[in-house]
Amino acid sequence: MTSIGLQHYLLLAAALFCLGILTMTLKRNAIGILIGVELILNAANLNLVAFTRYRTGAIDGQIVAVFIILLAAAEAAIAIAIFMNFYNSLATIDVDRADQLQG
Amino acid sequence: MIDLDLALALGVLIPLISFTFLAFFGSKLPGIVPDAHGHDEHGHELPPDHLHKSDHSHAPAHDAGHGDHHHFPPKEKKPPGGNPLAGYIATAAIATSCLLATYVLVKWVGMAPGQRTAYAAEMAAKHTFHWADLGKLNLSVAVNLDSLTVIMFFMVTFVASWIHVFSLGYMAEDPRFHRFFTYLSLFCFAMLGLLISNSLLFLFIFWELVGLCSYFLIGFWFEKKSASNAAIKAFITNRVGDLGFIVGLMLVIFYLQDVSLAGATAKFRALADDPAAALFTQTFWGVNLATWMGIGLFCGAVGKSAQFPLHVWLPDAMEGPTPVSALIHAATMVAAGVYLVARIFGLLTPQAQFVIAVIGCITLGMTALIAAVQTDIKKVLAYSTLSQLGYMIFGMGVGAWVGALFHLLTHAFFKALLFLGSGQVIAGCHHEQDMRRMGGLRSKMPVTCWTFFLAVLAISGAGIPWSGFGIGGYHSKDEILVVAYHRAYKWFDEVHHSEHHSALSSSEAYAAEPAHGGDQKDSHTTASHGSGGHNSLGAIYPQVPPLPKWMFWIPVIIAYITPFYMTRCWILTFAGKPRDEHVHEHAHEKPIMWVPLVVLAIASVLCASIPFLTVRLLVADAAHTPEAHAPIDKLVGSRVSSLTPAVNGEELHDAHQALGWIVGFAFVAGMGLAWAIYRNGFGFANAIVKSNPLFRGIHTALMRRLYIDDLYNLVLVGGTHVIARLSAFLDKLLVDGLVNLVAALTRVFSSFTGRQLDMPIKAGDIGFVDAIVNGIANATRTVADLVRRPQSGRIRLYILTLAGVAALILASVAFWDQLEALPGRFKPADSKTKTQLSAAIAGGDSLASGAHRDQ
Amino acid sequence: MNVNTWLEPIVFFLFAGVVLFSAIGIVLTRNIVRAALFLLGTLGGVAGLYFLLMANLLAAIQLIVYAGGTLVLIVFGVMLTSKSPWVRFAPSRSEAAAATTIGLVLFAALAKIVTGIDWTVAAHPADQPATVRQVGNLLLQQYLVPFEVASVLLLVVMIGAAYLARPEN
Repeated sequence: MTSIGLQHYLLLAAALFCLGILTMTLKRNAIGILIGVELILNAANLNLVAFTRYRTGAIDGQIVAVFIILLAAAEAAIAIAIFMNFYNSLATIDVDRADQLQG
Repeated sequence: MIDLDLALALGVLIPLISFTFLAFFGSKLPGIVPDAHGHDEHGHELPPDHLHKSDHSHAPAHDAGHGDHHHFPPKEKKPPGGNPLAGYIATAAIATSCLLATYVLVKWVGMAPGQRTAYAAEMAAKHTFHWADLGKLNLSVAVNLDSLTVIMFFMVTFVASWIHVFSLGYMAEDPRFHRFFTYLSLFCFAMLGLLISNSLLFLFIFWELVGLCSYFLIGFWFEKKSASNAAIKAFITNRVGDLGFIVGLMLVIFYLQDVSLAGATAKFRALADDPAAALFTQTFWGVNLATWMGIGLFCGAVGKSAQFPLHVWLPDAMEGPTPVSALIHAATMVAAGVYLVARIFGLLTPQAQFVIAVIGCITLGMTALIAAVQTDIKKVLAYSTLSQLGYMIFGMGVGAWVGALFHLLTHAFFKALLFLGSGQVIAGCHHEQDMRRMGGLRSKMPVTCWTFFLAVLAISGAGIPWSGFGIGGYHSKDEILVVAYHRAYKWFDEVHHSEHHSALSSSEAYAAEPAHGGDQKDSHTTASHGSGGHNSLGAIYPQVPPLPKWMFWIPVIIAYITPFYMTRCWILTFAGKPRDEHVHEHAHEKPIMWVPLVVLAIASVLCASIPFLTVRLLVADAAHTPEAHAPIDKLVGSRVSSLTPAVNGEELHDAHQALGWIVGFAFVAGMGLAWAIYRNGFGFANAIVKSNPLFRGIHTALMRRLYIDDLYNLVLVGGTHVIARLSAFLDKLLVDGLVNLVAALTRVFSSFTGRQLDMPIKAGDIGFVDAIVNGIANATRTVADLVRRPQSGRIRLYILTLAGVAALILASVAFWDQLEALPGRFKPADSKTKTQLSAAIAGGDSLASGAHRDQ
Repeated sequence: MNVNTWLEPIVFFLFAGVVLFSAIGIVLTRNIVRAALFLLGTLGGVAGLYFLLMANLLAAIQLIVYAGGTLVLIVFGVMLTSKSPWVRFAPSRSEAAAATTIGLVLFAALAKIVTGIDWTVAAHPADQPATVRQVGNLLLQQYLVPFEVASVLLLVVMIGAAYLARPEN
């Protein structure tokens, strides 16, 4: 068996990132989009932690990852508050219905 | 037993716990609900509604701006007063702190001076908590354990405890009783925290916190417009001073890279030895940055201690409840400014010190004069506080470090006593503050009367000249005056003496400096600074100017005026015949309020005479802490003085003997004059004022507070109005004018084109211009239709587009080789794009991790 | 050859499999509750990979904050914003095709770039887990300012979320 290196993590993160993009584009439920964002953030975090372990030997990347987790939590809180408003005013959670701004 | 610094920290935290508890549960405390007679366990019959009617019964005569009376909400709800349990909790908390402080004080006094330093160093090493590194700035938290902290801590907790007790009686009928004690607990926490802070940063944080409490408490009766205005005024005025503090703090952080009190002083002194230090060589407006740093920090003290340009808030702050005036605006918080100057004393240059002396001198002179004409009992005390604070700041400025702090401590006791006495009078007279309606209260309030008189003696500096026997200001104020005298008259002698003088005292305070190596170093630094200093310190701070003579004489003259206005206040309140039968008739004392008066009276006598041994000794001992190691006091010699009244050293002793003639009898003269003029009430004084237009003018000017408030109103408030009007005018003139002009031009132009170019030739036809306009509109619509399509408002489509474009770019980079290999494609000169990319990334990488690979 | 050398690939592929399987599940399911459950799998798998990357504290944070906090938030959001959580809105076929194409191209490009580069690796990749003390010291010293900014951000978010989600009168 080959030993696990940086490339493995990068490939996995790339796959996770693409799946996140797919989730964001394919879900019509607003919360599905939020889930897609979480996937993308996780991919980024995975990259950061892998790089910081294999390339620097320091732990600065982990600190940044902590901040990203924090931001993700904050973003989820705000997003869900917005969705609730959205749901209260349109009685649906389908983002395709949120097109009043369309030209 | 518990370590002393931890005991102090505990003493700080107990009021915080009390605050937290009261803040959450203060309004829900189960109830000792007082009925109408609930507080009258001592037998005074107060008709329940009498309290609230009487203060409105004189409404026409009452000056609305001066009232201290409550505006109770309509009284249909029970309970009428607050819940005393809240008061008991807060009082118990501060009393516990006071016990801890007493314990620390006793232990501390029990140590020998050398032992104290060693103990403090040991505790600092043991209990320093390293908090954070910000760049080169190292922040650590520890209790600043030294003699000054110990004695100040004791003073604050002691005075605060008795003021809490007093407040139990004074605030008894207030519906927001629990909130009052909540704020008081927060204040105690902040003030004590300020005292134990070991760095300028934490000092600043607590500094702001006491300011906030002050704001809350001045505006405690916020229903009253004047009270809420006063609170805002105090807050804003303090912000102006604090801006200076922040600037000073930034300079400290930038140039000294250490905010701890001892560390910053040490760095400052090290820099002062360096001829090329930027702090001393860079100038701004012709003054070097070191001086600006000192002045900036001092600005904070100017705001908090209400010194000259920013003194306007303190008299207005008397809108707060009287215990607040006693605790915050007389004894402790306003004195924090002096404490701050004491702590930054080592960061001051002689120029900065001179500024401090001038500010203090102006304040003490001006406000004492204003105090002499006030008719509101609290305003007299407020201006007297300003004047005494001026003395302390002045003392700092002339280098009387010990004298100023000693005065701070004695002043705290007797001024708290004075304010509580006035509070007793105000409460007893149903919130009457105007001395024109008082008089003859001696028989109704004997305890208040005589404790107040004792405090008057203390603030006047009463004592027997040359004997060393006296109370209050006799020791502390005179010490400041002696040092000022010395600076003004004996300066040059002192400089000449300083060489052997420093050799003598080096064993004590300057042991760290090599006394014998002084000469060589002196000549070196002297040459580099091009000055004529006589020892190393004189060389570093080359120009220490002697004090101008008027700066000695103004405090001396005020030393005569102080007994005058204080005695006037006492006579008008307590002596003579009652001027208002109604007020006099109902005047009474409550034991819960006069017991603190008696205790504080005893304290204010003892603190300056018998435990003189303790208070003065501890302050003098604190002069050996690093912060006090400023250049100037070495030359003056006050720091090496010790037990004997005021001073040590022959010149200073002589000076004190000489001053016996100058100020020794000031209190007799001032009190005698007051007795002569005000013995029979205001009649004689009014006659004097009316007799001469000059007197009338002076009197009016003083009544108008020397027009300073008016000036601020005119310049600041008026200035804002002017700017607002100007901008409104410019807005109308320029912007509106421009718009109107364009509109008019357009109208003219369009009417011209409409008539000349766009005349339809025949009906149904459209003109040339219309055709163009319509054409443009149609084209726009077509383009817009095109552009609008992708603008679907569908968020998923946006994401898809974004991802698609990103994919396209990335793919074109990644698969460049394959694209290139296709026949008929564009071929760049260098076709190794992929390897280039790879090499670029790897190259950057080799830079980044080269160190790792080399290992 | 120590235990880690042969154990590491197994554990890696195990967790990577969990992550990928769950992520694909998220994409494919039409049910938002299932998607949230799959997200739990992904987050857990990533946390496992953090352990493998010697980031123990981060893994714990991932589990506590993400799986424990954010995910619960999402599930609550699902509950609160849907009369029947089983309602499905399917995207159109053309959309699905376009998205899949773009996703594949993107992944192919990324994979090409990642595999095409000879990543220089540090001489000593960290083989000791980062301790809480290390992370804490960095957070409170070198990264103190971002830390404080983040705390302010959280406060703002708290107020903002409460404001946004308040019942309208």
